[in-house]
Amino acid sequence: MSSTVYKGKSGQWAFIGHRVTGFMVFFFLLLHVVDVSLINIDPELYNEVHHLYGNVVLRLFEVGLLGGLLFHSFNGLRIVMVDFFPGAIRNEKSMFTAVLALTGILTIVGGYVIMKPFIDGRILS
Amino acid sequence: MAKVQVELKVKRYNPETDKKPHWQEFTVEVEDTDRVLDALHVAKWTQDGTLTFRRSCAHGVCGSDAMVLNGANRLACLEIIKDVGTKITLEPIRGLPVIKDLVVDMEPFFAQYRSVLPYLINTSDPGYTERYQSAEDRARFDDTTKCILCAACTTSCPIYWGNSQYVGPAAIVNAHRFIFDSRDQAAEQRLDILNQRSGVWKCRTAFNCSEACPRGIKVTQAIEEVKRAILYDRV
Repeated sequence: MSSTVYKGKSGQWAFIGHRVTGFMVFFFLLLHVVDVSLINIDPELYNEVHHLYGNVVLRLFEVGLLGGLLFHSFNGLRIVMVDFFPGAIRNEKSMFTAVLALTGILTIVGGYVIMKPFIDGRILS
Repeated sequence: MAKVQVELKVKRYNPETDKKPHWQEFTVEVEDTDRVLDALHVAKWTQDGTLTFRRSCAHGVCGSDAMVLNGANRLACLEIIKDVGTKITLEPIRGLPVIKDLVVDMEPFFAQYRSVLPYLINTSDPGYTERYQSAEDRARFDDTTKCILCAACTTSCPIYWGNSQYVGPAAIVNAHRFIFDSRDQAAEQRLDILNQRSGVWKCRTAFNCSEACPRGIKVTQAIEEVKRAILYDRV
């Protein structure tokens, strides 16, 4: 028998989002270390693997990664503000709204740039 | 004032007979101006005497009946049926071992409270005079004097659910009450205690504690003030 989900407000979801995006970014970094280090092993393999990043699925993955990175960065700044500026704590909810808005807008803009080849109809393999 | 049928869905668990917790529903008739605690009383007194929960004063002062009410920590004695609706889900507070139904073992919580030396420490003799404190100095820690140790804040904290070593918001609130008291001399000692791994740095500012406090204490703000006192070495 399960418990109900605790009904925390924006702070709880900011905390959970921060953790989830933190793990996302961390695992991407692990993957990134592996794909970049391939150049030491076999430059051909490096090229092949990096060619893969051009396909539509991985481009979409990059859009998700960008969103995760942006959320983690902006929310990190929100936490820094809460920690260091006594006045900021009164506005933590509106700061969270700003974090979401900035993340959303910049993900759409960045996502457009990342997906542009497909939007323009140029298909990369 | 009107009579209403209230559906109480209570998470029940008796470790002596049950392998795992289960939900039980009670339908009780109460006034819409009654409190959730009154509905629990009707269920216990007229339907199932084994239903177990804590309460003492029943007026939001003793802090005995904190529970997860419709998904968030509340005192059952302060929540009015009219405000919370007629479908009410009740669970024990999280992060502490369940003794039976809605009763949890508060000892780990009180041990954490005691660990921050929550009492006035002043070895100087004031003689036959009072320990003078200005209104401004008194106001410095006024908010944190309101704590009733109900554990609603500590058991709403996602960090505390996952790490019972964390002293928790309530202990920090009660440390704050004395750290910023101009008559006290042990601020440094308390800050040292809270500077440990189990102390304030475990706080990730999820703000659940501030939302849960039935006394309206700005818990996260108090924790942040203690963090800054440690960081800047200044009370």
